[in-house]
Amino acid sequence: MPAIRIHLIGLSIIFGFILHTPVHAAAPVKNPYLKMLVQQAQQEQLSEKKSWRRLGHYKTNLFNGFTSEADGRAFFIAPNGKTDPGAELAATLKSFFKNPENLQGKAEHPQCNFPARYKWLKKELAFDPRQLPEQPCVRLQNWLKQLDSKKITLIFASSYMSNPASMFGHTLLRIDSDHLDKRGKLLNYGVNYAANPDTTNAVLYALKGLVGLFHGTFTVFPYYIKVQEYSNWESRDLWEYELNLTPDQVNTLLLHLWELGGTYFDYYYFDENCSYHLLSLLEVANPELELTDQFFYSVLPTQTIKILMEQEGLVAKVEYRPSILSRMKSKKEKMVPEEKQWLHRIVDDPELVKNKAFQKRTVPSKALILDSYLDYLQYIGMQREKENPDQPLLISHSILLERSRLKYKQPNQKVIAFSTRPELGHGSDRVRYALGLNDDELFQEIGYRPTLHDILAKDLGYGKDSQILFFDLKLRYYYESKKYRLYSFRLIDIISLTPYDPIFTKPSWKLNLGFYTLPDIDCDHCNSFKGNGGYGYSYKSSRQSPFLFFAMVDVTGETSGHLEKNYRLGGGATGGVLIDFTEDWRLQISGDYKRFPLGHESETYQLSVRQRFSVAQNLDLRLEYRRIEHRDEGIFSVNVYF
Amino acid sequence: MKKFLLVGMMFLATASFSNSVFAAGYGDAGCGLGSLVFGNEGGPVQVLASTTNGTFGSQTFGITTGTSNCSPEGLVMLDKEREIFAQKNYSSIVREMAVGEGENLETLAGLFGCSQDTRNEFGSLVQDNFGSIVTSDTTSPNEMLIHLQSQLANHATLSKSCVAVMG
Repeated sequence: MPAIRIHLIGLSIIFGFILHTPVHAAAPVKNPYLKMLVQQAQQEQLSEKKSWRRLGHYKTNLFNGFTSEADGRAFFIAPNGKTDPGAELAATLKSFFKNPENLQGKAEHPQCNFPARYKWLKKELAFDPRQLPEQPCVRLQNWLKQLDSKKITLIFASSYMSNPASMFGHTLLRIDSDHLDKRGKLLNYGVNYAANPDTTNAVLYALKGLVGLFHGTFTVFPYYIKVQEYSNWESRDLWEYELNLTPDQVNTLLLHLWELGGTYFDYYYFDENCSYHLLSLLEVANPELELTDQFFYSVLPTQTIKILMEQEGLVAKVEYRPSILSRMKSKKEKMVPEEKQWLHRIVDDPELVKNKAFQKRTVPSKALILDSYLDYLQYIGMQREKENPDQPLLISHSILLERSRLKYKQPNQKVIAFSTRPELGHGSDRVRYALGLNDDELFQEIGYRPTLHDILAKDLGYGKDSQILFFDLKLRYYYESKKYRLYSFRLIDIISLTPYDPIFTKPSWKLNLGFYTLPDIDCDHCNSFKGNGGYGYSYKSSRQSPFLFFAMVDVTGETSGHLEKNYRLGGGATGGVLIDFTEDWRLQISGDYKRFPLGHESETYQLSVRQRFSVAQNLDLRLEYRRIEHRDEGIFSVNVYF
Repeated sequence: MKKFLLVGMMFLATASFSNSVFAAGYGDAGCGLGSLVFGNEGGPVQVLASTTNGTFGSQTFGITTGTSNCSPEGLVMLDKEREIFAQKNYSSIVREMAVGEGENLETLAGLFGCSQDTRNEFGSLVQDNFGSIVTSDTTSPNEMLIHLQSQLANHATLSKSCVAVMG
């Protein structure tokens, strides 16, 4: 939070000076027209205006002053520009008068480096071009001409297979060009804001990202690069939100992007991340929008979509861009069982395409099977791309040739959407109130967790059959014994159920760590610290089937002062079924057995039946029954998301 | 306070998945405005890790560092557009050629200047002549383009409607 950031600001100022060629804003103002403009700006209090605050990325700081979120020194013309919007405005005005003959080397004129500031100040102060000559900005003009943008689209990348962490999503912008669009949407340019990590060490990566030690920068590149990365390599569905901005607003956005091209922001995963800075770009484009002030500590990509959808008339239309595996699955949905079998057999043995029985099939049937197989081959090929850098063709040539010889095009290319729009999902924070009854007494439970989605919750807008929870806290008050107790505090709890597929035999797995109530020890609801990890498989007979069966083996380590030798270590198995009666009603029945041969020798059994009924997007009711050893417990809860 | 909680959360998350969404993966770079791409070698997008777009006078080195495919403004060189597109989308293009249709194929047709109404014809041409356009497992994107170019030039109608085909 701000406290962490303060000394980082110091660091970046020191670092910034190394790169910086200072502009001496403190020199006395000689040009009378400049003097007049500066005075006029002061009178009109331009530096207090929202547009200027946004152009400089100024935010109110702890001392009620201003600090810019931009951290690259070259982004400021005044030496104290990072913390003084007024001084920066005056220095900016002064720099616009710079004699172009005095520019060094390849340096660009400040009017060309800060075109969005120039545009806004010119409008506010009605610059007189005879007294303040407008500079030609050749590179900028070429850039704008090539981008030729009329529209902006926000892209959301949804989650991918067997990785619940990807449920957090990612966002980027697309600059839609008039002339490129005619040749193909893929040729448009994308704008990404991302950290530039300088380490591959996962732990360092996480820590540095949290305290803002990475530099976040904006990058611009062809949209197809991102489509290859997300749709084909990671196989994530993309949702494209076309925004209603006027051509003038789009122009301002691009001019400001140009300004940002040379600077960086300290990258913070949670608040100053990709979603945050893309929203701040939109705020510059249209100062009427209030997007970034709605967050108080973290910005999730899914939330940015919700915020955009809440702005009346901002989103013009939404399009779905299926990932390569969604395309493949969609084709499988059109297949008869025999065709699916052929596909599975060919995946195992590609030579079967030459088999007589296969060759005898009708052309449309062969095409459907081969098209689906080609999707698979491309996906697999891209996964292995790094292993075969000398093999430009990632798909077997003989299969491609076989398919082309059919001389047949699929009449129906429609793809079923396998993911759902993120704005339809429940909020990421959850509060919970519950009333329960065990064999002895009545109890109340309150709970809160900041993120993200549990397996029983409605999965609209999230990945299917997955769970990722952080800091899930539950406190209980037992009426009879008049005691407050920590029921559980799960630091992390992840479940990923991927139904068995003959082609992708992805395992299901779970991982959790946290403080729990010891279920089998008579110690007055005492706690233990426990870690548990499991691995297994899930099964669903078809996409439409309401039943998802799962089974896993797991290992558990647990420590508590109430255990003999203060710990126990063991393993066991868990299994059960998830049933979706309707979209709003999900039931889970599961059983769990654990044996601890090490430390406190013991065995535990647990049976639970839990069900959730969704009342609204952000409200669900749950009824849960649990039997642990010989104790029973029933809970009714109300869960509110926000 | 929340941030400290989140520290732990991130630590756990990233430690748990080496391939997690948080870890920067493939191709997190682009042309211009920050970092520059497009090495001439195959494989995934190559990052040349230049940290500039030359917007500011003090940072011009990136422009001259291995970025022959980028314009001075940091966008794709217009005369290289087709080659770069073919190279970066090669798997998608060859698959769609065999299938006879698809977005990448349509985009490639667009890059040959073919008019919208000939996309279907373009698809049939590349499907019917797939074996002579992509001749083997080792055909490179540039070889594919050369073969495609001559197929288009010899086609009765496409040679006329695809304005960027050099006869």
